[in-house]
Amino acid sequence: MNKNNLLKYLVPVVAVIVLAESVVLISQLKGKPLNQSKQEGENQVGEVVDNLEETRSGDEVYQIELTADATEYKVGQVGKVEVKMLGKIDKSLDSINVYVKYDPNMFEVNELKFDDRLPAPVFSKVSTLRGLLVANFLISDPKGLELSANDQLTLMTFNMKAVKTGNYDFEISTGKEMKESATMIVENGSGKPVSFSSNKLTVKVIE
Amino acid sequence: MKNKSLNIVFGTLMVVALIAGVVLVGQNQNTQRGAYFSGTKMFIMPEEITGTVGTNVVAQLFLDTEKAAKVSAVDVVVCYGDGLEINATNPESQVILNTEALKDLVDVSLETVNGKRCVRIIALAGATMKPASLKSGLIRVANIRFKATKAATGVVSVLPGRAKIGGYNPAAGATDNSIKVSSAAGAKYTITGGATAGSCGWCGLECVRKTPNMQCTAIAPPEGKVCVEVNNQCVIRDSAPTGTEPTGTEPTGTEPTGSEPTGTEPTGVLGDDSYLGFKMAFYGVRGDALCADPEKLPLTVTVRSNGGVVKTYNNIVSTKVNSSGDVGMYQVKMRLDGFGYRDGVAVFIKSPKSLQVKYGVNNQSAYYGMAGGELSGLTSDETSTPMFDFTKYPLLSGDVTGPNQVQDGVIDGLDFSYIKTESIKRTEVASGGYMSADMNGNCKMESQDVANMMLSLSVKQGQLY
Repeated sequence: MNKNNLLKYLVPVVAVIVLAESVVLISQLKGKPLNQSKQEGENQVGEVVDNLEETRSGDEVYQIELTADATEYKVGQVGKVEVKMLGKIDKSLDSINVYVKYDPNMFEVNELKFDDRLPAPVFSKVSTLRGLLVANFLISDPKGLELSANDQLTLMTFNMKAVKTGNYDFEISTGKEMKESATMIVENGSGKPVSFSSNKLTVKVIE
Repeated sequence: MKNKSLNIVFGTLMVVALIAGVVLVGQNQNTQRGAYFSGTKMFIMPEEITGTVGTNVVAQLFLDTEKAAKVSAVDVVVCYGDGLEINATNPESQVILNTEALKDLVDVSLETVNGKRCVRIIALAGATMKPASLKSGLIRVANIRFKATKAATGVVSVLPGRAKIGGYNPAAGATDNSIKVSSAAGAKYTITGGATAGSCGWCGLECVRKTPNMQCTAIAPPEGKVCVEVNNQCVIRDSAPTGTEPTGTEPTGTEPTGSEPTGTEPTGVLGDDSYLGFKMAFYGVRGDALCADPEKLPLTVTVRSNGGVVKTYNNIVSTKVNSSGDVGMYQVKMRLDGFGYRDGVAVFIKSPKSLQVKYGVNNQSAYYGMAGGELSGLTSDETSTPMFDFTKYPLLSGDVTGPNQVQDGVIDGLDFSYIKTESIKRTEVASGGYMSADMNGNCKMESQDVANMMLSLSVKQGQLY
């Protein structure tokens, strides 16, 4: 008798459990929804516009700094120069076009390298013809290159070897001599240039 | 008794089913094994590749994934025709991977598929690349650097049936990591014989069409004469008196300043106004493009004599010559008011979406970086003036905006940002419409417009620097 009662209750209990399992199973099969990057991109535009409003205080958003691994070099000595970009606020960028002026009669420049976070440049060159180091970064990602405040990005590094004594400069080109060689940082979303400041790196070369 | 046995059997079965059910719930069930989780297009850029024998020509392989699918692996076969070669002993040296998207070039091998020469490229993002770092959308996979070995035309194409693209499927528990190749577009190439092959030039005292191995006597050409091409014939003409070529005024991508003469006006050559005829093309715009109407693409034409006389003519509307084919051709025949020079002319052409390009010779197929120009044989008669062919060196597209939201004569980040933003919208217009960022004139905004612009920038920078 007891066994019969047990079986009688077991059947509906099992049926309920199987039903519950099915519901759980089906809901697990749905999984997480794919991120809609297009929506994210659209949201990013709104955020960027808001940030742009905040930056209209006249302060440069980025500081581009040229530094060398020494203050003085001997003729023939190889030095390393870094061109870094430091941001003051969060921003997303569509492109960074860098032009660094130098004197090709005074320096041999090579080993041009870039930050891993940057995409491969569409164009880069040590142009002895123009006395310019050129790197054009265009970011295809709809969200752009997202940089946080105080994020430091190494736009380029290069080796330089001085061939004559004297004081010589490396500096960011702003396009005064040739408008195609204007260093420019363009914001994602608004498509507007972002302000920046830069220093002049003076290298002293001795015998 | 029998009932009891049956009850026990059924009861045991149900308990087993219960245990199995509990085990099943604990595992992920995916009934979509072997399916694709997204799609992608593949294409080769530029759509028209030109080069000369002995040089390298580059074909860029692109992916454009849908739904921002991230790519982790690529296995593609790219086929090519006569005139292009890849080093059989070291094919890897001619495939330059975009390491920003795919870190490891696993294998590059040559094979023959249905009689065509092909190169198979296998690349992976690399074990160290986290899903968040994988690239999506428009991705340049690699540059394939072919050696141009002989004059030929052909196609560089991707075999869609052999393409396998792997990606990261963000769906929880997903095991489908394949991305389907929905379309694959190739590129046409034209390789011509060396830089001077086929041009008119002096061979001793004769004015002939030169070939690379032509033997000529080493004597100076006759004074006061030039050897020029007129209507596909090499002819001798009187040379224009050479004034001092103004230095520093030769446009290299910027418009010549003003329309007034900037040098000493030569005497004795001015006649009635010359007529100028030419055929030209816009980079990336096909013959069947439906949103590249000449009325929407008025030209600015500037002519410059060897003496430095410059005249500019705005809003020149061309005539579309063809409505099919890979290259859209546009023709102009115009009177050059106030410009009576016949020989030694250079022509500068610009359009609302393009940089200014200098044409110095007929049938020009590359950048003309010399001072002055060699276009000759212009007449004051519209019917007899020659029709120069500039279609082999199309206008570079991409200059669509500037700091003041107007064209500024430079292709830069401002143009890129504008075209990219527009391409994300995927806007389409009706046939005959116009979108300033529609680089190929196909009435739709897409990643190919961005790719066209990036190529233009690369080409222009190569010319400038």
